[in-house]
Amino acid sequence: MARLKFLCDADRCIECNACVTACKNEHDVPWGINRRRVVTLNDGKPGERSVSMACMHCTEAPCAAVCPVDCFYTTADGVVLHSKDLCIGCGYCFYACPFGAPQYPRAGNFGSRGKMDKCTYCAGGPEQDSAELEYAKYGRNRLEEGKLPLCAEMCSTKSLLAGDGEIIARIYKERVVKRGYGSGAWGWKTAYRETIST
Amino acid sequence: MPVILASIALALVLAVVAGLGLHSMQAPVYQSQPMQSVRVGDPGHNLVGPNWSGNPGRPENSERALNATFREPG
Amino acid sequence: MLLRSGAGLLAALVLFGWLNCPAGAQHGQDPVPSASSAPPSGANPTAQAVTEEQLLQEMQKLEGRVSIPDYKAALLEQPQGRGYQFFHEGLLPWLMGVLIVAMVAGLALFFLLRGRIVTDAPQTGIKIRRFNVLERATHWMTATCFIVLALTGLNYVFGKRLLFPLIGPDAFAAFAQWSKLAHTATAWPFMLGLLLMAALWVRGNLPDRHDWRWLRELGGFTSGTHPPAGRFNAGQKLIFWSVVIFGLVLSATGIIMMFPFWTLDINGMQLAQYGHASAASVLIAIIIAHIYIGTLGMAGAYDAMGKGEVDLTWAREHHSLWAEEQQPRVRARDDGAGTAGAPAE
Repeated sequence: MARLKFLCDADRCIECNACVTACKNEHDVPWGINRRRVVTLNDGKPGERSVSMACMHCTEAPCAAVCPVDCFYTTADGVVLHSKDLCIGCGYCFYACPFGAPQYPRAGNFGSRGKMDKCTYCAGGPEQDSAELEYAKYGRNRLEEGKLPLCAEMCSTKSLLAGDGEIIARIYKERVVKRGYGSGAWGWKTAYRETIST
Repeated sequence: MPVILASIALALVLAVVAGLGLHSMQAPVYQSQPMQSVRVGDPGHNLVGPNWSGNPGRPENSERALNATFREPG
Repeated sequence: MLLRSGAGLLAALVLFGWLNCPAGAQHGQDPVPSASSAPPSGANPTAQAVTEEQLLQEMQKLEGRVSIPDYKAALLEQPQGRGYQFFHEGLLPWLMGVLIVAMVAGLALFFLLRGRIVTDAPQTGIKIRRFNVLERATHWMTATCFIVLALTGLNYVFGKRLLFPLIGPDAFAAFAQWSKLAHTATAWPFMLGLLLMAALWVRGNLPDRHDWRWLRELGGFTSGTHPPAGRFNAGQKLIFWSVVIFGLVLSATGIIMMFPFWTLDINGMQLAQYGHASAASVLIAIIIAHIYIGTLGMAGAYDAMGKGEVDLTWAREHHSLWAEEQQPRVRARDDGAGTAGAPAE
């Protein structure tokens, strides 16, 4: 069974934000919700690096563990999804998430922050009854059509890889060997408790 | 007993008032997160209009630009 | 002095948060030198760029710069989230559960062994006013709020473990939503009541020279003696200061959590959670003991706060010094069976 993961090759990311735009457009993400974002370290200084970050769909996801209403679930592929019907907008998942993935549509006043929204690995959510409702709540479900997340598909430098963890790890390792350098898979140790030896 | 009941009632009233007050402080992120660029419903003050002089922050220049004669080179 | 240390703790928490002020995050960090000092070359153009392990070692969390107005998004990775997961799921249920269950079990054992504490001498029927209307109203308002806050707060920790399996996901989610709103709304009258109670009773709860003897004799709970005490004995003073200090900690951390990222960054918010949950665990256990002694544990105690008046015998045995002070104000019973002395002026 495939175990789906994200890998952002920080040596290739050029901060073009195509991944961000693709995600926003495909899922009609409202203003203020940033499912995917590009973070630039040492911006403008020597050693600048950009990394595209969204939900990493962690192993033993901390968000799922701390949720007081247990609204998260992990699919067989390892995709971490949640139910907006059960979500009470308390914000605990944001404190637990090492990557800042959960987003809330309202600011302030813990209590009515609105339903949490986050990257779904383009796998929609637990809305079985109607496809329109699933799209309105969670965005497009590409996975059930056999497609990979759009952010990785749209990446202009193919720095953002999405797919089965072993396959993308192998692709990254081959890259590092071929070009001779690699800063590692950012976030993998925290998310999947494994690193890619290069 | 009446004191106890009155206290419970007071607690309830204060809680409801506090809840309504907190609710009114709620703002959707597109209002609470400040930004200098254009936003729907609040066009802002950095839009370019017909009197644009090319010089941000110097509206008096726009008059001169309008009235200046354009001279052909040479 | 205890109050000042509580305020000091509060100030330290806010100061710690300011030092981690999130406003700086969007403007990037000072450049962190890379692990390798080799100059960039064709073979390794990123020789001087930073790596994840290096940054985590030096700064414990990775922050950069983003082009969106949500400044929190500039935080790339904070592995402390896993620590928060451990506290919230591994440590806290045990801490809270053990404290509360141990307190209830201890009180049950005490009741079985000692029984209900009754006065040695018979009731005289003469009543002394112990708490006036303002004091009682404040106490009951705060107490009601505390019960609601405690139950809704416990729901955050134990709801999904105990209640969810009983009523199912949809009912539980609706209950959790309302319980969360009740928690944030009821917090405000609680804080108001807490400040009022502190103001009303701080003078009576300052330590005096009888407290040490009262504590040494354990208040007479096990020995049956009646150490002298003023209006509030040492045990009550412990309750008062616990409520005030833990209540202030809960109020401060609660307000911090109610307006997320208003003053603190993510690590500060996590700390606020730890403080709030720990203080709540302790205070709930203490209040359970307080409720026990004020209702079941001691005959005549409930009347003090429930009706505002206590029997003279009860006052003489449990608060002898206070009873002496109140002598001139004793109210005789209607049928004139008073033996206290001069009637009320």
